[in-house]
Amino acid sequence: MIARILYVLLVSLAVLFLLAPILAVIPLAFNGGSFLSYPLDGVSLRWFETFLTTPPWLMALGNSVKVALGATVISVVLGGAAAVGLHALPNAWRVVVGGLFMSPLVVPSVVLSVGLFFLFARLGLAGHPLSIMLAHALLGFPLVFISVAATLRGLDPNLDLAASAMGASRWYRFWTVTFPLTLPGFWTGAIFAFMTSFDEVIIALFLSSPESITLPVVLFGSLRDKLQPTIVAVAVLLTCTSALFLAALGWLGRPRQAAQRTTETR
Amino acid sequence: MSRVSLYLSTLLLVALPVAYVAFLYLVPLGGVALRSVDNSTIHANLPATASAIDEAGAPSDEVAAALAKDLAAADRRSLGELARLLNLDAPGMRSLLLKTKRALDEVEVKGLADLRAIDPDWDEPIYWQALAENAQPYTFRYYATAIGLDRDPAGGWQFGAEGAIYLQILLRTFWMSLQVAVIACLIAYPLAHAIANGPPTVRVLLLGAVLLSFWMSILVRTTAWVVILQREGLVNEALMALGLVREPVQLIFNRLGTLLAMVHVLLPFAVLPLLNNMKQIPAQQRDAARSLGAGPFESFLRVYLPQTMRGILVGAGTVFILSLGFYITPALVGSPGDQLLSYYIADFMLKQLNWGMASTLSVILLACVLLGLAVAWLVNLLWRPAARAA
Amino acid sequence: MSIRWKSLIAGLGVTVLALPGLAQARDFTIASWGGNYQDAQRTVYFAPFAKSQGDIRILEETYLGGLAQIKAMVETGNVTWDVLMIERSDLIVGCDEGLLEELDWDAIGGEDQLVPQAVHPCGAGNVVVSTGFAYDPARVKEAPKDYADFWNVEKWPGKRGLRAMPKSTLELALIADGVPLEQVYEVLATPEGLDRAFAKMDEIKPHIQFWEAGAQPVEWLAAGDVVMSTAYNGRIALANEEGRDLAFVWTDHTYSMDSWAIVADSPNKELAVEFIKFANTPEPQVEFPKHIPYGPTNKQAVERLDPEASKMLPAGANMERSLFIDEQFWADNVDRITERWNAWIAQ
Repeated sequence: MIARILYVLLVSLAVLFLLAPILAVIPLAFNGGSFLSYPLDGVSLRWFETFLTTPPWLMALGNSVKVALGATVISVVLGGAAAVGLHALPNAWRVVVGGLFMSPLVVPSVVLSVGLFFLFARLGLAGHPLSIMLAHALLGFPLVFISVAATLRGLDPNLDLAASAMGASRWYRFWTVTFPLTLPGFWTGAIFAFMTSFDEVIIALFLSSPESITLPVVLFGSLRDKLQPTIVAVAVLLTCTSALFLAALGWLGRPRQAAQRTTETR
Repeated sequence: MSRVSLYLSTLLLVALPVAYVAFLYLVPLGGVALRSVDNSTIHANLPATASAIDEAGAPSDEVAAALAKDLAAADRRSLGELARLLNLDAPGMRSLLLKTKRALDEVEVKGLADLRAIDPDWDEPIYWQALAENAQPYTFRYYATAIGLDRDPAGGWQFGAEGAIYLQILLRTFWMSLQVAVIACLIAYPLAHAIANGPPTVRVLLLGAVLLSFWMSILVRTTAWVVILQREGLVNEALMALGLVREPVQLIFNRLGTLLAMVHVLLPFAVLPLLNNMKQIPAQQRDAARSLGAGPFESFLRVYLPQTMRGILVGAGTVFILSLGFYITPALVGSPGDQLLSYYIADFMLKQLNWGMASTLSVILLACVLLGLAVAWLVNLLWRPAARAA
Repeated sequence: MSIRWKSLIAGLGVTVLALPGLAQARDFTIASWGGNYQDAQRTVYFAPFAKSQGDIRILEETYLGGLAQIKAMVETGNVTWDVLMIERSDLIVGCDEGLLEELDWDAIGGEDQLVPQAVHPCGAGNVVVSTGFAYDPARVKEAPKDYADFWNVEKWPGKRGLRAMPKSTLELALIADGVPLEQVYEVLATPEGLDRAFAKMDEIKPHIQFWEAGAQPVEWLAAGDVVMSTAYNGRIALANEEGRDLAFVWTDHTYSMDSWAIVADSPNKELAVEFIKFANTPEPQVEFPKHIPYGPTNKQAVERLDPEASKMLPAGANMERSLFIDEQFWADNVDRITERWNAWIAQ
């Protein structure tokens, strides 16, 4: 009995630790007053309004969407090619090259940013949104790679054999049999890649200029400066985006598998 | 289609991401390594001085004339950068060089005496030593600084008065990462167990919470901690309402707040491997132990815990390695004394424009992460047979 | 439908429309520090200047400090800014490294109309920014008067807010230790002087809470997190206008200047010169402190200030005991001292 109570208590505390900070902060975005503390001073949407009517925030949002979309497209192309290509190669290749593809996720972002800063400065791309896009794809494509690779592994090899027996060429087989079946893997990977880029702070902090500044960088700057309810309103909007995409992943049918094989570097 | 052409077409497919990774990942990391020993700005801009000066940096008329010639030829942009870099070795050299350059418009420097006439600081051996040292296109000065070495007056190396500050910060990085990994596992363990063994509703809700947290922006979660830990935040209000403290306590901008927020951000990385592990343990096993007379604690300690060791190690290892590179959370929640190595890299890079030092610390941090990965890989390799034998 | 919803939807519409059109052809572009500061500059400098030039279009950018961006612009030949407001430390290094144009002082109204510290080969000092220390009178029994009091943790227990960098902080330690203002840098330049400054810092180390952003000291003082904190005079004055009641100690405050400078290879250099010439004149400079409480650099403007308003400005009587931060000293010594500072903090 004591063990049971202790167990329930421990689990509750862990859940409280996980969720309480987030749940406690969300209502503050709807605060009518201008302080980040309870009790709320009436309920209002004014801080969301501030966000959506302040040019710097809007420009950052626009940049973030642009960068994340670009990074996603690059990630899907590269990650898809990597997964499909490696699938047909021997196991040793998969371990070594696959390991190389995954490694940007564990290399500290600050180190990567230092290297990319020098590279883009030399290429004359410093501060251009394209540089952030290219850098984010480096973190996004491993995520597409693993999610597509996972769906490829789950495919019944007999399908391909059957199509081959009927005389279909390799490319034709890929586009008519394999690709439609791995499509959920592509979508899952694309969502991962988009989210990763949309939330990424460090690389964007190093590479952005005022013209290409992204939403997380503005948020980081404001957090270091002054705590205002607008910050929490932005945070709530970002959380809603996360939840929306998480729901999309659930809808794609394999959220658990994908998430368990995923790591993301901060 | 032949096997060979199949092979070739797949290789072509793989070549695309490999090229991308090579160009945008391996090349920049290699660039960082080169930058950490690079000294070419000085070497390229003072060619005559570099060939005239001897290793000890003994000043002579010949060297002085060479220096004057180099300075006269240098444009404003490269001279400014050069002066800033040399100033790292010899504080004050920046002004000295710029002043000398300005004076060259009016004075002709034929020898040492002319330089000394421009500024008597040219008497100080430290400036000549700095020139001698930088006559080489490569330098280990940044690594020396990183491990706490200074130039002694004779031109050799000595341990600086400040001590090995960056080694201390590296140790702090390791220590805090370890703390985060242990705390994260302690909190993740019951959570993962409840997801693996709880009733379906609890399972779905808890897993949903973990995944939401996993995909939530790191900034959002850090914001949440900043807001609830602040002086007039929820935690302090709760503590005061409960009568536990009379005045608000400081919870933010200190070590405790930093560790808490880092644990929170990294918690899903500990939960997910544990969950994977626990789901593979059949529930009957515990029941069997219980039916043999073991109490709940005993059956947990002797039967369940050993089987989850792998999950614990994978979870803790992941959290530890990711913690090593943390920047955002400590920067927002910690005091200057709670910052990890990444903070100093960003500081050198973005604020102090000391790119050599930023590169060197980057190489050191990267080496630590790779070392951590290698250890994890070894443990992984050794653990598998052991687990089977047990 | 309420106004609020309309503006929300309008905001969304603007986002979508703004996406493609971010990069424009090169109009005259000024970069400054954003926020209230740039709002004030828009009213006082940008708008009247645009009008005087025949209603030209002025683009504004936000500058976040540092030289990395300007360096990237100049080296890639893609110079997107013409004039920027730059901190003195960056002005000095940026000038040495050729990232800023050298000014022809005769073309911008001559050196004589400005206070001497405002004159630099690459920049015209425009705004005097002062760092003193502030406290909440409601939370102290007796008013602290100078840095000796700031260091006195027995009489005024509680945390002290100090900026998390050696520049402008070590100076205070020496002042608190009794070094006369005019000797501060002389002392700091010697190894013994540096030891002395750090020894003084040791005295209050457990009581320090470091700030990095200018808004932090104000919040901490208002919340009672710290009993005293160094702070920018403008931040305190603004907080008081918003209803706080904080006191600012001018004794031995340190000050620096933000300057207008022209980015090297600017394609609009003539307009940029005209702009700085306008910014150096007394009329806008007298106007500026009415919008944001920082001090002018034009000698006439200093004299023409409203005496009542200038109580919260780094001008007039407030400048009697003050220290001009020696950026040359710091440019030469910052690496060495920062290393020691980092080590001191880590201990």
